[in-house]
Amino acid sequence: MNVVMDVLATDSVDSVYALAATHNVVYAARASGLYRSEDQGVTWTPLFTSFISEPLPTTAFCKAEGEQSVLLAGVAGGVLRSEDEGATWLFARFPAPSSSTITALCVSPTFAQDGVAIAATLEDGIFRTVDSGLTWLPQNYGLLDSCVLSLAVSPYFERDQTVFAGTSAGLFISRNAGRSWRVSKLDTTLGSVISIVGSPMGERGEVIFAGTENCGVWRSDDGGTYWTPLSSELLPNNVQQMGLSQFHQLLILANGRLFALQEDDSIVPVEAEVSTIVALALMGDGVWLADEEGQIRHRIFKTF
Amino acid sequence: MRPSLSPHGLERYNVSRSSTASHSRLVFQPDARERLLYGIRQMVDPIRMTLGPLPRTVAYRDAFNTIELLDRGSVVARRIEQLADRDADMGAMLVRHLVARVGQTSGDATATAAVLFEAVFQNGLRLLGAGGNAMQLREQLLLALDVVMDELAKQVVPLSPNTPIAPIALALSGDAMLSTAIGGIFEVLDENGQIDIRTGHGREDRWDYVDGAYWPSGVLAPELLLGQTRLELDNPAIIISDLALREPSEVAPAIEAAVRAGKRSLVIFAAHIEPQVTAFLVANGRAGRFPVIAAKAPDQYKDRAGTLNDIAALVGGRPFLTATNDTFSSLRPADLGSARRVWADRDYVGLAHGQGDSLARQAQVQMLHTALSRADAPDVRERLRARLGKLLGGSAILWVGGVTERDMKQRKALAESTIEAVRGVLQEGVLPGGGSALLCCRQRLLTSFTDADMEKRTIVRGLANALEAPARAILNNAGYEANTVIAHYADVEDGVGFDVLNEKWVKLFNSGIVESAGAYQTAVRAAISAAATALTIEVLVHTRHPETVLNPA
Repeated sequence: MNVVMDVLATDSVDSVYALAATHNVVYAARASGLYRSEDQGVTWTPLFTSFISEPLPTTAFCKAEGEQSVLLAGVAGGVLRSEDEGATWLFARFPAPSSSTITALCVSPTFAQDGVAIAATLEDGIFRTVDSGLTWLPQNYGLLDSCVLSLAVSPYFERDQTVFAGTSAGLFISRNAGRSWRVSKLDTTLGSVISIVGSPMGERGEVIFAGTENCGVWRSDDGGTYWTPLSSELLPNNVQQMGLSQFHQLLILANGRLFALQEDDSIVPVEAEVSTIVALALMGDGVWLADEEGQIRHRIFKTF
Repeated sequence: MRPSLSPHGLERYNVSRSSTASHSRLVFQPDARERLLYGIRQMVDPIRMTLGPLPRTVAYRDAFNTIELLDRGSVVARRIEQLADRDADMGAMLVRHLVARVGQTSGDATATAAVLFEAVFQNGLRLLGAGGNAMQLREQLLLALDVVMDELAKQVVPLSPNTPIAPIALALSGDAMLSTAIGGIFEVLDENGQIDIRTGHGREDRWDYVDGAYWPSGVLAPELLLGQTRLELDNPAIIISDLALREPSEVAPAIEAAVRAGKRSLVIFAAHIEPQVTAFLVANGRAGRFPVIAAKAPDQYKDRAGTLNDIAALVGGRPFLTATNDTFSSLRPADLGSARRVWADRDYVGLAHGQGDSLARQAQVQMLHTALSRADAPDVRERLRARLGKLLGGSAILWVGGVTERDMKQRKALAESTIEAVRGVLQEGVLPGGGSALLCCRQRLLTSFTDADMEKRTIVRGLANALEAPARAILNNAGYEANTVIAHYADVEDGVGFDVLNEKWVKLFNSGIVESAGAYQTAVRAAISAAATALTIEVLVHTRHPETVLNPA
């Protein structure tokens, strides 16, 4: 895989927890708040200045597309919601014992119709909204581990209503849009599931990839029943994040470096010329990368 | 007394019906079967009226002259406690016992069981009247029962994960508002979920989801609530025990361990607390130094050790048990559990997001699943399911409304049986409703015994006719001519049946006309096997003064 252009970078600000990119706009959830860039990362606009002057750590972010897009930003104890691209925000507090740390947010592909979004927390399990983020309720039936680290919706969510939650003790699957959960057959001794990606490109339909903290990437071609490891001597075991390109190619961030899963199931390193990557977001033919110093860079790859 | 031969060749004693008070009264054939059948009909006829989506009602007057209208077979059977004719009463009680057993096991299909029992018994009597042998009849009926069960099993359709439950609950209960609430609950909980049914505060039914687990135990003494209705602690240390706290000095090591573990509050589960310990904890609570909740160690279903192990799986730590002579003096920080939140009031104690080892919790859930799959006794299954539901981390409270107190009571009973039936549906799937599942068994039943001798084929034919009884009852209750409709079943494809509400032939699954497979199969098996056994009854024996026998003092 060849890097053809190293586009832009930002000045280091602070730690980046999450990146999200959509339609030439990139968002960065940082320790100091949420930022947006509409010019390929040349300038970054802080989005919380309308209501707070202090840094507000933002640990998760997602954007629901539709006639009216909705931004959801995970902060301590709840979710900030904006319907006007960040000009104004509404805070929805979780009914949790104390400030929960939000580790992941995801929205239903039919968010505009069903208003369903799901938030994962480090201590209090899963919260779910059915009114586009105005109110959130705990939905932890069957979730035997409250430390949830990752979320993903099935590529066929509209049909199968399936959501995946990676926890410190394995992978849980909801077949009813996050209302209740069952433990998957992924071996619980593999430890924390840090990242999950659902790809629609399997031979029998959906392929689920689960990235673990210490045991590499595992794949399931049958919706989460049978799992096999992606074996490669090149791929480190400590997976940090995964993403899917526009052509459904899996990109793996492990031990600060990037790897790509080829069509022949081999794994190749991707030279991104960024040291110690901590977060990534895929968009079009490129990928946004944040390093441990808080710098965000954009890379465009030929094969993407 | 000299023995003589009965018409059936059995040796009998001529016991006078007017024998003295100390003698038992015996009833022989042909009276015995006639009186049994009379009693069975007395019980089944009102139950039959309740079958189907358009049931008739049964008016019941209780001891206080209050009139109650009943439209559920199980309730009708429960209300009929005794018939005046003691011979007939034995037949009625056979049905009553059958209905109770089916209701207790599966919560549904009780009226089907009663109607089928009567039909099989009546058909069997005809064969016995024509000189058949009761034991051979029983044996052949049980062989045929296996074929019926096999055929029913083939018709079972398991539910797909996102099948709406409300229409199924409606088919099972006939109560639209209740079905909506139950459907909502089972969109979140699975078949093992914990559901508390409580009296609502209005006419409408509603339900709440409760995050975490709770037990009906509450604080150890009302004073510990410090004048509040509910206590809540965030991130407390938790000590799990069934010990009795007799001296304040026994609590001190627990508080010390919690402080050493870096906690700012403590929850103690214990079996009992002495007033001096209560006073110490109240003084401590009022001073606001180190908040403590002292809660009763839950003893639901008389399985305290099991419940404490479940709590340990949820929150971590280890249980301190009287049985192993544990005391708090040996307590270390590692023995403490923890949860994100613990709450207690006078009646309940609950916790959310226990911080125990997830793998230990998964192992405990697996252990309970295994035990549940092996358990047969309804009370054991209920206990295991309650424990499992709490470990799964969420529960529901169903608030049942009603117009009057009696109405609420009836609807709560309906909610209970519907929930039980829905659990069965989720576990074992559904069968076509309207009695058509049994109608579909007739052909296979007849073809399975074509090589048998004439007598056996006659028995099987009788059973095949009896299988029509539930469908006949449903059609008659809805005002249709049953023979015409049942005859038309031969011309329709599998899965198609008659919708009595809309007066047309429909695909039963698509129209929500279904039965709980597990409950239906239980009812059919119980009804046919009970009828086969009842047909072997030759003599009825009554105690002369049953009240004296029941109450010797």
